[in-house]
Amino acid sequence: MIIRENTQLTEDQKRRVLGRLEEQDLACASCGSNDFRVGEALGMGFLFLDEEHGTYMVALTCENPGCGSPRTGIRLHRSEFLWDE
Amino acid sequence: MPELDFPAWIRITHFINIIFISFLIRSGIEILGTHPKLYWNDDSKPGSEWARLTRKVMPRDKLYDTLDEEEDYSSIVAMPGHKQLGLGRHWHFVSVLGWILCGLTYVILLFATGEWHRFWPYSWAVFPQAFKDMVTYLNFDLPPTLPGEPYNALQKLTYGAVVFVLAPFQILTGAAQSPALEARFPWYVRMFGGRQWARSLHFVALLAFLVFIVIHLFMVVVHGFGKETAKMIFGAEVYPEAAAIITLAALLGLVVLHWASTKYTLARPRSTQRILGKVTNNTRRVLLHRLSSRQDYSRADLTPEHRVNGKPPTSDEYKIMAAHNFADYELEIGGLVERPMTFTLEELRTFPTKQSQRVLHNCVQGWTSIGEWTGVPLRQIVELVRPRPEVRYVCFWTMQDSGIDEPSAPGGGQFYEVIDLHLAYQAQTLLAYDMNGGPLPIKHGAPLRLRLETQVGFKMAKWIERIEFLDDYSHIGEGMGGWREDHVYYDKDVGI
Repeated sequence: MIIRENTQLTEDQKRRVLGRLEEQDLACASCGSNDFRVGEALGMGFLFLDEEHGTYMVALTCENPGCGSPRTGIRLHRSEFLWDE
Repeated sequence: MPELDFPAWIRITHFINIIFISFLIRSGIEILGTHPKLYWNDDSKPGSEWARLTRKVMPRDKLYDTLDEEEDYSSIVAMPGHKQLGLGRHWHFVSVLGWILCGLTYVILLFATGEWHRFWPYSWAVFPQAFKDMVTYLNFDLPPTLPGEPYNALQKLTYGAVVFVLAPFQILTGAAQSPALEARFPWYVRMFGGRQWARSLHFVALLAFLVFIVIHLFMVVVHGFGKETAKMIFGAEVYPEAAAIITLAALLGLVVLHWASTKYTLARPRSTQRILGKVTNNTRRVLLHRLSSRQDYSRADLTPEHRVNGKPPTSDEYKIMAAHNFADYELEIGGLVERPMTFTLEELRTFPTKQSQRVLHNCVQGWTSIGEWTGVPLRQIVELVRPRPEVRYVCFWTMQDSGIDEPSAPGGGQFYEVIDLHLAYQAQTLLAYDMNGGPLPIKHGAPLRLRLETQVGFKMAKWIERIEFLDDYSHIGEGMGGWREDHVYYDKDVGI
């Protein structure tokens, strides 16, 4: 059985993630940029013993072309971004 | 037919047998306790067990592994008890070597001296007579021995069955649980109906032994303790009081031997691992180490939900990498090689050779599952990096910090496992990035894990981040050849 562990996000869900980034004033740890592209979300509650149910690691990619380490992530609860309108 | 009696060699092997079989039973219970469930299917599907010797209920909403299912049995029944699978295995394998040697000596002498006649039913009449003997026992009476023989018909058939059926059956079903034998001769394990059939039958035979031992001891008492033990002490029905005292003293000695061995094992586990390991490792290296896997299970055999052992790394670095589908992953290969290299996951996926294999996974705890693994044959990587002539081992470093990520196992530090270099060249030794036609799941070791089909599962490092070629591993960790060898006293070469 093939199981995809990452969830692909809709445009709305990605917008909500960007909203959370703005709220938290999250900047790239490598270059300081605030410009991110939102990728997939990894559900962690079941897989990782230290994670609460409903917790996701959302993939973020720093859009600064000069960034030395563009791939990062943000930990969010599903209630913060993962619902359909 | 020669005169059948109780010569010295029968009496000596009988007592040696008692020592080994008692250690085999206790250490076998220790091994069983590590996965106290028995199946008639090689998937070991949770809930499909026909027998469970645990009350633990596993969570449905959180990943658990089979280490969480392990039971802590008392040292009264298990050798050494208290979740010490590694040490239990050492005792089991040393005892089985001794037991087989003792048994072979007994059988050879049995045939060489003509004493085998004691077990051979020369007439069909022995069978109805054995039934009559049983009825006689149930009527609280003692049946007579057969003319010119030391046993009655029921004893003759029972002892014969134990020596020539039950004991060999136990050895054969034990051997069928060796991943090296299963991988090289898949037909052998299929002969028993599969690996879990062999494990279940091994357990049923253990019960048969226990039933036999209880009835045997009871009958010795019923027939006359002093008189019967005299045959096994002096070879004839003489000095029954002295025989009874000597037998009781010997049984007390056996209890003291078990108590002292258990105490020593629990107090000095490393020393026990080294001493017993010397005996078993050399034997295993000779018998199993050169066997290579030739498995090819059908797609229909694949386990729908392959069982898991070990928990994924909990570092944020790993979780972020996983959320990005391991795009930043790099496998570093170094140590004593002429060309240290690094590979991204994409480079591994587009490697010129891609190999798939459908194989039986043998966990050291006893469960199995069948999976299809796809990846790069390790031998091709070895040929690229070119190990120096002095290289003898390959070490797989993983992203798992066992102290944080694996609370069910004692000890901390980065998880690693060492294998002999020659195993890296085997045809089905694989760096796997896919499983059952999809990307390797996180719980099974994403992005990359080792497949080493002639060894038990813990050697197949998951979440690999670095491969190091070595001439010696004594400077790594506790120097035993792997994290589990260092912390839970497993054996390094685990072809069984």
